[in-house]
Amino acid sequence: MNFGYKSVNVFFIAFVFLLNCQLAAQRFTISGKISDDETGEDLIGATVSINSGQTGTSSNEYGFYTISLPAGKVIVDFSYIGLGAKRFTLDLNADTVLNISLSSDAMTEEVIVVAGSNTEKVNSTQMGVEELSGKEIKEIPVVFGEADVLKVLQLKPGVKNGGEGTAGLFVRGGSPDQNLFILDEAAVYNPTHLFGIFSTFNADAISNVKLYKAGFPAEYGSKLSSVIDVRLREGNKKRFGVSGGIGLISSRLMVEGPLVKDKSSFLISGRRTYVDLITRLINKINEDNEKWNPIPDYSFHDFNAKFNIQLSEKDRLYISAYYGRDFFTFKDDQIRFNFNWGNIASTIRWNRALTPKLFMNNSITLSDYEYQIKNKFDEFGVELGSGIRDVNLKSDYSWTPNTAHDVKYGIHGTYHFFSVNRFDAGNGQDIQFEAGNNYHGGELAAYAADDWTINDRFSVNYGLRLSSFYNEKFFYGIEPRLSMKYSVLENFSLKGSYTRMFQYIHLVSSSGATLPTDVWYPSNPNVKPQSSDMLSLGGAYALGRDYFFSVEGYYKWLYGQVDFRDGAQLFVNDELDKEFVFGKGNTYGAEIYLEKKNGPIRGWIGYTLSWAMRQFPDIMDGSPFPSSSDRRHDVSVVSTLDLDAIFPNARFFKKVPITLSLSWVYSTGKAYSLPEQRMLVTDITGNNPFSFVPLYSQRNAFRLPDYHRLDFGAVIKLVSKKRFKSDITLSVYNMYNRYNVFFIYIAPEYAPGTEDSPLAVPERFQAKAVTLLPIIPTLTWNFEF
Amino acid sequence: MKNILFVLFVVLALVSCDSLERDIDLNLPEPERILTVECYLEAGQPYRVLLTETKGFFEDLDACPLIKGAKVIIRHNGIADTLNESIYFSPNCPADSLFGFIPFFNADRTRFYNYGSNRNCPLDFDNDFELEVIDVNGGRQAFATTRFLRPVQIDSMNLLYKNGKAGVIVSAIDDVNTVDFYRVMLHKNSLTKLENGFSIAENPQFDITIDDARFFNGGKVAFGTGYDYDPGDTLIATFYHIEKNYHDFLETVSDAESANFSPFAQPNRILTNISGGQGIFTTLSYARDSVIVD
Repeated sequence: MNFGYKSVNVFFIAFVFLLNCQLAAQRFTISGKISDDETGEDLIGATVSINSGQTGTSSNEYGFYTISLPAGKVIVDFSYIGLGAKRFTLDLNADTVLNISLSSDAMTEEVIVVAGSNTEKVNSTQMGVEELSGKEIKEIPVVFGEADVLKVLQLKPGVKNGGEGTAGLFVRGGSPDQNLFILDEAAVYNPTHLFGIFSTFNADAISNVKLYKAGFPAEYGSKLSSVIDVRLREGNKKRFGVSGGIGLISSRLMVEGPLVKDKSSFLISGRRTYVDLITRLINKINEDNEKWNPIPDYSFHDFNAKFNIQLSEKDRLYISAYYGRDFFTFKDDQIRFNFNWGNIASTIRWNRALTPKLFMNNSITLSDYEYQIKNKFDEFGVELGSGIRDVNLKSDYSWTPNTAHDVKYGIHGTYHFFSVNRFDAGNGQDIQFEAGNNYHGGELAAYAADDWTINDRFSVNYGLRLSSFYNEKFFYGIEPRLSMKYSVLENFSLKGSYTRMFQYIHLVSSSGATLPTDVWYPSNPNVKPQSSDMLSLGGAYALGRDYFFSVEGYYKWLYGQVDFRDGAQLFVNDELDKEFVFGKGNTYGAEIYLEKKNGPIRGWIGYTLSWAMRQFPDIMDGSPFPSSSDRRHDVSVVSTLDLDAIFPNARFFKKVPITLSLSWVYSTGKAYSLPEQRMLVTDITGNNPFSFVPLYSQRNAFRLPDYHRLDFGAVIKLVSKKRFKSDITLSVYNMYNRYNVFFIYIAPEYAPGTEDSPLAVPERFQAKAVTLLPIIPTLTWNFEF
Repeated sequence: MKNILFVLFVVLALVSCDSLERDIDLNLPEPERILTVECYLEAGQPYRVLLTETKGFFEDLDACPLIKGAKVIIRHNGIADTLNESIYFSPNCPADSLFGFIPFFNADRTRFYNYGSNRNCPLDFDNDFELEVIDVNGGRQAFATTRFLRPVQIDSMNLLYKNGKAGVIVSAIDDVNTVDFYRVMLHKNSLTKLENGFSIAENPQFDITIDDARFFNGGKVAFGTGYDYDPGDTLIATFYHIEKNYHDFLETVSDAESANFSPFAQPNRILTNISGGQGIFTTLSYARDSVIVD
């Protein structure tokens, strides 16, 4: 599938020609910003509908929209989920700026339905995309009561988790390192806390999240399987506010307000767990108890800050930053063990509406992820750490020459610094060991894409991304992007997409899930880039004004996949890439999705049928095997109910509004490796002759039992005054206490009292199943003033 | 409403106290049994081989893993030595009577074998030793080769003291021009002990396998202990210079054992130098030194 330079030239000539075809008639542009009337924050993805849906557009990540229309009378409808729509009738005879603020005051008893929101999805060329607002994320019940965007995304079709409770994402059969997590444009390399149980994204500060599973827009690259684009809120431009919550394991606080009223704002939020405070107290109480094994300390905290400064009518400056850190520490008389890890992601952006048709966004981002293990054992100290640091420069442009074309182009440059397995051990005197390497890599990409509405029925988004990477050797990738939509009916369309992606950095992880000790490693002459080709076909149907239904099938070819040879030493190894083996994969499946996004009863039902296979010449003699994300069937049912709107005559719900949520998931058991045999090994230490070694011959040949779980949530609004709001959120994870198996092991069982003997003979071997999260009820108190 | 919530919480709390681990039944496929060899050649010691076969994990523990009636030959410098088989006093070699046979032992009687020879293994750094196993009853064959490596001398055993307790640093000089693999053990007071009339290997204080290519160490390989030892304790260090095959075997055995008990470890095959089987055929070249804590 390599495209030659000749093909690239033909592509660009065709691109320019197609744009010029539409530049004939006299047209004018309507452009501006769409914001929330209550907070002044820009609204991402607000709908702009012209002449009752004849054509339209939506606001970009900065609330900016532009649309070019023929001169004459036009009716423009602006709408956004949960806010009242606004309609304007214009006699368009000049370029017009319309800055719109949408208010919830216009809402009636029923939550306002967004005109065109479903049809916008149906009529878009984009497929394989999921979008969530911060409010939606908070409505879905999750473990320990911590609203978690990644856990909610795991409920969408085509997205699987890495195991019970973990926040890693496996999208359409991809690996967890093949997801591009970006927070306000800065990459986040390890998006989890607590070994994957929680995500790093604090739901309080999130404005909007988009997950792309297919048809990747050309502005995104560098990862093969998905893009998770998280946008932070900007802060209230109209008034100061404080909100927060006190939960089972953590507390949160957020402060926001105007810097200059109606123009500039700030938002600062933070959260911290306090399990360590409790465990320290327990340890303190038991410090005189000789039999007491102290509980290690664990905690995490994170902070988000964002400043949004309006420099002029056309210029905006955004500064956003994230800092998060996890700490795991243990101390006794001889050992001081400290393990900490965390991310920094910060962005400075300047965007400007250069003309009503041309929008520019420039940004500088800094991303940093590292982990450090420090262990002091008497006089001997051991330090181990790895990390990745990026500095990224981006310049992106959005040009809307006319109604038919929406052009995006830009250039991205990233400098990567890798610190790999830095190891230092010794006593500071006569013993000193060192290991580890630092690497540098440069990544440069340029892209252009046009979303072209050819006629009322047919539209195509065609684009090209050229990517390159240098680390001892130069690599490049030509990444065509193509998405098409054909409207069979006004509310029914067929879609197709093809994308090629390249990934130049790789995650060294032996666990199959995301762990803080995983190491990012660059491509080099021995480690080629990963790449993928993905084909998607599907249909989208808007049922009335409330329902959206889609079916998508996909096939993804994965090349240059990285795994590890048997016996690989992934820690403290100066020649890490000698441990790699390379192979390919193919994943395919179908997803069915029914969504109701508006009204007092909302939610979705998703079903996925999928296969995810890998093949490595050096693993299992080259036989294909299922990847750990291979799960044949996957079902999710999510529902949110506003009881006060469903039962408008019930006085209790008028007084105490309650929102209930339920989510039920089912999936085929995870592909899993089990030892089929045992082998007697005595070794030179003269081991107990009955200490058998497990023999694995096949990878992921077995299945854990099927997984299913029901979660329940209730938001009980205690106070709902204009200046003070308060609610209690009850969430119950795993409502019917399903014993979902996290892992299986096989252990010898001995007669009582004999197992410590060096010649103990086990009576038998027994398989044990371990579950991680039983039923977990949680209460959280949230407030806002 | 308050009462309902309270009752609900009590019920939920009780249910959540349920055990997180349960016994389950697994139906594993009938495995193809694999010949397994363990043979550690030691200069000046007679040839010894433990020849077994793998078993299904849930097979009866009394199912004999020892291979009987096999032809086991060790060749070196054109001399083929066919090993003798142990004598069985219980035909089914049940596990609860230590396989019911009269084993061959190594020098300190901590390891047992079912095939042995009276011929002592010569010290030869230049020529291979070859192992051939013919499982006459099972129709299987296995082959392997190995060679002695020159031992690496222990450079020093330095004692360090703190609060009346001692620790030790064991070091050796590594050849920075070659890729070498080592196994280092430290024992306290003795290498063996008696238990129920049997000679049993003492558990080492530490037992570390390393690949020198993974470290930048300026040519020195050293390991230290904590301040765990009292005056009068004898600390015995053994520094094995091992083959890559043996290093890989030990590492993958360790990884496979970890994978069984850890959801985060990747299961792997065990790397072996036995063609047609499993296990290890290797030599033991080591230096040993000791120090008494004063």
